Amino acid sequence: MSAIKVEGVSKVFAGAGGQSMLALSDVSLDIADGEFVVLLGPSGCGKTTLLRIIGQLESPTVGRVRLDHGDRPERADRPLGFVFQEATLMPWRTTGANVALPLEMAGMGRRERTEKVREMLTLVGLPEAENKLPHQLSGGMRQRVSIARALAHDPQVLLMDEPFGALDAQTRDMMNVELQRIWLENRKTVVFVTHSVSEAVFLADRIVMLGTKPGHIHSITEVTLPRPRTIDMTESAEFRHLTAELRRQIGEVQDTEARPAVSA
Amino acid sequence: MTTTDQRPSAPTSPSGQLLRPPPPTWSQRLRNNRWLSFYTSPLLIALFLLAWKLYVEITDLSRFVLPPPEAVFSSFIEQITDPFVWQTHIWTTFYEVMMGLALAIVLGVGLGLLIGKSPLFDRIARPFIVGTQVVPKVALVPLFILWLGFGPSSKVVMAALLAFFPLLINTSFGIRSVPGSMHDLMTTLKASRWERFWRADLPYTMPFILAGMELAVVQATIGAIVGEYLGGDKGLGRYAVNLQNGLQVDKLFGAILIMALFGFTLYSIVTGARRLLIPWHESVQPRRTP
Ligand SMILES: Nc1ncnc2c1ncn2[C@@H]1O[C@H](COP(=O)(O)OP(=O)(O)O)[C@@H](O)[C@H]1O
Ligand SMILES: [Mg+2]
Repeated sequence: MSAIKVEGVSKVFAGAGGQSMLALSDVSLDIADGEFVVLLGPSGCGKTTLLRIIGQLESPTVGRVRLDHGDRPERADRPLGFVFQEATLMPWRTTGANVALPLEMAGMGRRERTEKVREMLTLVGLPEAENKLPHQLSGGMRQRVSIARALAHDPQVLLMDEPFGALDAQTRDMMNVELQRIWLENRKTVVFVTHSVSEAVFLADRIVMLGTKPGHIHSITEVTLPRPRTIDMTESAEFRHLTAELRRQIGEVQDTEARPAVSA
Repeated sequence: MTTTDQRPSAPTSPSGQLLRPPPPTWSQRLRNNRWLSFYTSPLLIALFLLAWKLYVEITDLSRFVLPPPEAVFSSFIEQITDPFVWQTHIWTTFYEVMMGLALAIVLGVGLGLLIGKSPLFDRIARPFIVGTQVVPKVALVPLFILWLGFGPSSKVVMAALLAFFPLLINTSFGIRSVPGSMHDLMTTLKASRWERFWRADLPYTMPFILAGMELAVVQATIGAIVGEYLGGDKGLGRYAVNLQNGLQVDKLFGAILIMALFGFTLYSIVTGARRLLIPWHESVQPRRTP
C-alpha cells in the first residue's frame, strides 16, 4: 500500500524579471507506508520544492500529491510532521512547550500533554531539557527538539528537509543513528532530503536521485543493507560501493557550471 | 554576582580538582555589576552640581537667570511635597499621557498589525499615515485647542499623535519579520488564522512593540507637556509657564526636575514591563560575557 503518491508533478516559479522557471518537471513517485525514502541530489535541483509540495506547503503547477490513509481515514485531518532545515523553535517557549505546540493545537489536555512531552524528549535523548529555553541549547539539541515536536502528535508521515545540514560531521553521524532508532521504534513513513551521499545510504530504504535543469527523477536505488545500521557499516564494501555509484551519478546530473562539490 | 557553583555536582578535573570558570577580569566585573550606575550616577551628578555652584559663585549671576543649586533643591522639595502640585499638575499630565498612550497603542499596534499583514492595506494607508507625521505636529495644537478646548482632551490627542508613529512602525516591522519557516510550521500544523496570530505572530512581534513603547512613552510625555505649554489650564507644562510668568526661576527649575523624574518613571515602567512580558528575549537575558 502506498502512503504517498506523487503524480506527474511539475512546478513553475515566477522568476526574476517576469520570466518563469521550471523547478520540477513531471515527477512521479510512490512511497510505501512505513518506508524511509531519501531525496538526494545537488543543491538547487528541487528537493526542497518537492518536499514542500508533498507537505502541502506549496501547490504543484501541474499534477497532484495524494496522501493515502488506507483503512485509517481519521489520519486524514491529522497534520504531517515537518522538520525544517533550521530547528524553527519558538524562542519564547521552553523546550517542553515547543514540543507541546502540536498537542495544544490538537486540543490535548494539560496532563496528557506533559506526559507526552516527557516521552518525546526522552525519545530524542533530551529528558532534562524540558524547562530550558531554545537559546540555551546547542544546534544539535535544538534540532532534536524539533524532531520531538514533529513526532509529538504521532503523525504517520514525517518530512525532513536537510535537518542535520548545519551540524558537524560527528554530531550528524550520531543524529543519523538516533533517527534510525526512532524510526525503527515508530515506523513512520519518512521522506528525508539531503545532499549528502553517505547520509542517504545510511538512512534510506530507497534513494531517489534528482537531476537538475529542470528537477526530475534521475534514478531510484534500493538500499538493502540490514538494520539497524551502524557507523562501522559505513566502512563496509557494500556501503562504499553504493556511495561510489551514487557519487558518480551526482557527477552526471550536476549541471556543467562549476558548483561546489557535493559533500560526503 | 558571585561565581561560586552551588549545584550539587560541581565539575571536577581528572585529578579531582574542583573546576571553576576563570575569575572575571576587572573590567568584566565592573561591566557586570548591576549596581554600577548606582555608584556612578550620583558621582556624576555631584560633579555637575559642583560645577554649577562654582559657575554661579564666580560669575555672580542673577538669581533670575540661574539660581544656585541649593535654591533649586529647596524649591524642588517644597514643590514635590505640595499636594496642590500633585493634584493639579502632576496628576493632569499623568492622566493625559496615559490616555494618549492608550489611544496610541490601540491605533498604532492595531494599524501596525494590519499594515504588516496586508501589503495592499499598507500601500493604501501609508501615504496618509506618513502625511500625519510630516506635518509639524506642534502646529496642530492650536487646532486641537480650538476643537477640544483648554482641558486635557486636546493634550490627550497630542500625546497620542506623537506616540502613535513609533508604535505603528515597530509593530508593522515586527510582524513582517516573522520568519517564513515559522509560517510554514503553523501551516503544517493546520493552524487557523487566529492560532497563527496568537501563537506565532503576536509573541514574535512583542519585543518590537515594546521597543516602540519605549519611544512612545517619551513622545507621549512631550506631546502632553507641549500641549499644556501652548494652551492648557493645568498640568506640568502649564505650571512651568505660570512660574516663568511669575519670574520664579528656582521653582521653574524645580518644575523641570519634576518633569524629568516624571519621564524617567514612565520609562522605567516600560523597561520593567519588558522583563515581565518578554522574559525570554535576548534584550532582557543576562549578557553573556564575550
Ligand atoms: N519560492 C521560490 N521562488 C522562485 N524560485 C524558487 C523558489 N523556491 C525555489 N526556487 C528555485 O527552484 C529551484 C529548486 O530549489 P530547491 O527546491 O530549494 O532546491 P534544493 O532544495 O534541491 O536545493 C532553485 O533553482 C530555486 O532557485
Ligand atoms: Mg533545499
